Amino acid sequence: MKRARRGFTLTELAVVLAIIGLLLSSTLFGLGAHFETRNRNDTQRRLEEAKELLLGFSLVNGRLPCPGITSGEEAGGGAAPCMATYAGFLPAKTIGFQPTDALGFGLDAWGNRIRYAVSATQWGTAAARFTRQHGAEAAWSMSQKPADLVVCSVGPAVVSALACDPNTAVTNQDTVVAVVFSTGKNGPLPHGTNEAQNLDANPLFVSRTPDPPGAPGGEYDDLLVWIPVGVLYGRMVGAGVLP
Amino acid sequence: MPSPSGTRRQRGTALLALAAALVLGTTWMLLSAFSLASRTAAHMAHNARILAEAKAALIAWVAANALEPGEASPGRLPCPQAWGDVGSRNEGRAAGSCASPIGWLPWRTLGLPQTLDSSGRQVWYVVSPGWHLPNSSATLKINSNTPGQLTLDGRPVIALLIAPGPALSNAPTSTQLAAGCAARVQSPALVVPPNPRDYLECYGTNAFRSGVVDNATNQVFNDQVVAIGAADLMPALEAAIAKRIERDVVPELKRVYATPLWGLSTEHAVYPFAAPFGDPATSSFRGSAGTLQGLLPFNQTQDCSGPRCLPSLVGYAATPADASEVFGYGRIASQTCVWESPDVRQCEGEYTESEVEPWRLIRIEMRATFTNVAMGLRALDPEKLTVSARSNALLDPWQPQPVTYLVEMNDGAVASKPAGSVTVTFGATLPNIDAMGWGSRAQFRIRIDRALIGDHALLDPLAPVSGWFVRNEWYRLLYYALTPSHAASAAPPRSCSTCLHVANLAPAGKQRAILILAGRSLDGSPRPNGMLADFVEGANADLDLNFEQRPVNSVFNDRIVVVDANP
Repeated sequence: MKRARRGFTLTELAVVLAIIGLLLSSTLFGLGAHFETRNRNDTQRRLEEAKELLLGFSLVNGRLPCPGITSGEEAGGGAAPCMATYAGFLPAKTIGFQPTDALGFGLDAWGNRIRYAVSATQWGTAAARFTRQHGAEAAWSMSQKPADLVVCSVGPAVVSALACDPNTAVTNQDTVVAVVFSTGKNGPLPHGTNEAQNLDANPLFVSRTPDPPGAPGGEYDDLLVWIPVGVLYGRMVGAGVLP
Repeated sequence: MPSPSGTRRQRGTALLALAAALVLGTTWMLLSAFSLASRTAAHMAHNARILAEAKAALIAWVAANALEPGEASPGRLPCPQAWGDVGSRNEGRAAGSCASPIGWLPWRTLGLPQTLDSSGRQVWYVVSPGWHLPNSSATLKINSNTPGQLTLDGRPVIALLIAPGPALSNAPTSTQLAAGCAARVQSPALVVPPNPRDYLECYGTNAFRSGVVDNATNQVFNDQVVAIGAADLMPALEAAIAKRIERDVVPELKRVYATPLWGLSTEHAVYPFAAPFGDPATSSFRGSAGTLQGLLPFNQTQDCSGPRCLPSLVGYAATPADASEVFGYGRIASQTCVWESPDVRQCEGEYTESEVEPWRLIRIEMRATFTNVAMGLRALDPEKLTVSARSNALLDPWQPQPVTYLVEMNDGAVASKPAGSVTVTFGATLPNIDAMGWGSRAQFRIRIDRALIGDHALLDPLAPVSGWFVRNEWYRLLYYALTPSHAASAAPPRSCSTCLHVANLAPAGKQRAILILAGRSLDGSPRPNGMLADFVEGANADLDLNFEQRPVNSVFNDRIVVVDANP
């Protein structure tokens, strides 16, 4: 007696294929979002690391470095003023940040250069500032606070304004001594008025949750971290550099 | 085909369905528990980060404020936020005086961004009595031995930073009630000023805790607490105080006996003898001849009380000799010398002019030796030396004459002038009798008051620059050492080619006198005590002329302040 061979019917195969297809597509869809999140998290982590390295630099040198302009070396600093304070790049080579490109600029997860701004506030003798040799120490002993850098949640109505519009201040204007930021996935060119605020070489910066293209203020995907002056002083005192 | 037993064959679908349901359920539970745990961990990590930043900024503020030239209570902590500023652009500023020592962290004053915990509520800040200004006219006494009067889990702390977490409303169990938790339905509403009981749980007056019993099963406590204790604060504060001693005290201290007033110069300075080391709380701080290291001789002789008050420390070595004439023109015809009081010796008498050259002037002088001068910080008050004259007509008022004087610091080479004593020779030129139209004789009076040698301004708690040092009793935490070559017992002119040696301090071997800020007890010994090993460390405690400055850490917290050094 020969038993009939039983196989899968066409219908069963179709159902299985449909289920597998469904699963795969949902996974792939999630994967894109996952990579996006991973890049943002990775960049955030790199920014935090840059902040730590800047604080470490200040412990050793008693001052903050100047931004890099043409390379990852700080431009100016020490006895000289910074060549640019608000419109430069993270001096990755100076502070030992990795990864960098061929010129020593620090890179975010999308391969764009990480930017950096430092307070240019002067006091006492006009040359005293946070980037001068032992400038942070002098600033601390004179209770000096940075009076220029400020972070807002949206760009002010007047583009060239140096203070946040009412109810949009993320930080006080006497708090931030340095800003480190990435221009995000959409790259180093501004895609809206909010992103443009971070690249217009003035001490006002915008930090907000990402906006899609077409949002009021335009697309925004920059990532910012900043160093409050109290944290800078706290680290220096904690490390015994001050007083 | 029926089975041999006659029952129908089971296909197991129900079992499969059950297994699937179980797997799904377990996965869901695991996942939700995991995400809850990771969320809680993330919240705790956020709170830990902001609390650590706030702590560092607070310590930095204390050290910076302690260095402020006008700060009368160096070491004090800022007050919590001024409630009046909440909602204004000045929100986050510290109040000028702490009406309540428990409130929100003054983040703006500390240079921090607004600090919110993971539940979006402001960080709370509690500061110990004795470490904040309860009102604007208060003065504090803060030094390395000042304890924090708050407790966290029973241990003394100076300040607390607390992330309050969301509002809770669980009723405490009986064990939790016994542990100090009170039943309260915390209001999540924001009112200003807020009631701390709506944010913080299970605390008593000045007594706080970092957790409570049975909290896992019945959550009545969700505060995350970071404490600032003496070990956290003192390294920064003591560094600031060492700087401030260098700035406010040392310039005066090194010149106490280094001026022409004392017949000395900065090059050939004398530094006072040290007081033998003993319990700084009860020591008399009396310098002792030949003692070259120990406590700073911070005793008082005037308007004082307590163990440091030594009104009879400085005294006459012997009864001063009677007045004598110098230059040889004219003479003292008669005189009577008496003790006006135990402190005041006075000679009164008549003088005549030279008969040959009556236009010549006569000068009279007296000499006295005072003991135990270099056993403390003394100042000269030349107004206590007076010479006056008048005509024989007794109703004339005495006319004071300009006094000149010479002071010598004695090295003990002569038995009648022991080391650390000073000999004062003073006198004045008397008016010419003819020129004054006083006839042939006139009267003189010459007197010396022991108060000539008074207390130095450094001892004054109200001194504008150095008063903080006295009021906060930092002198009780100083170890003092000087080279034998610049002690009063050295033969003049005093100088040292090889002076004290302080390792790791330039210039090497050139320090004439140093202070060592001893800092807090590193092993937690009750202070004050008289143990030198608890006071200074390492080579600083071995009583020789070699000292050391090392990085401050958990086994070494001496800070060298140089009083004077060779150029």
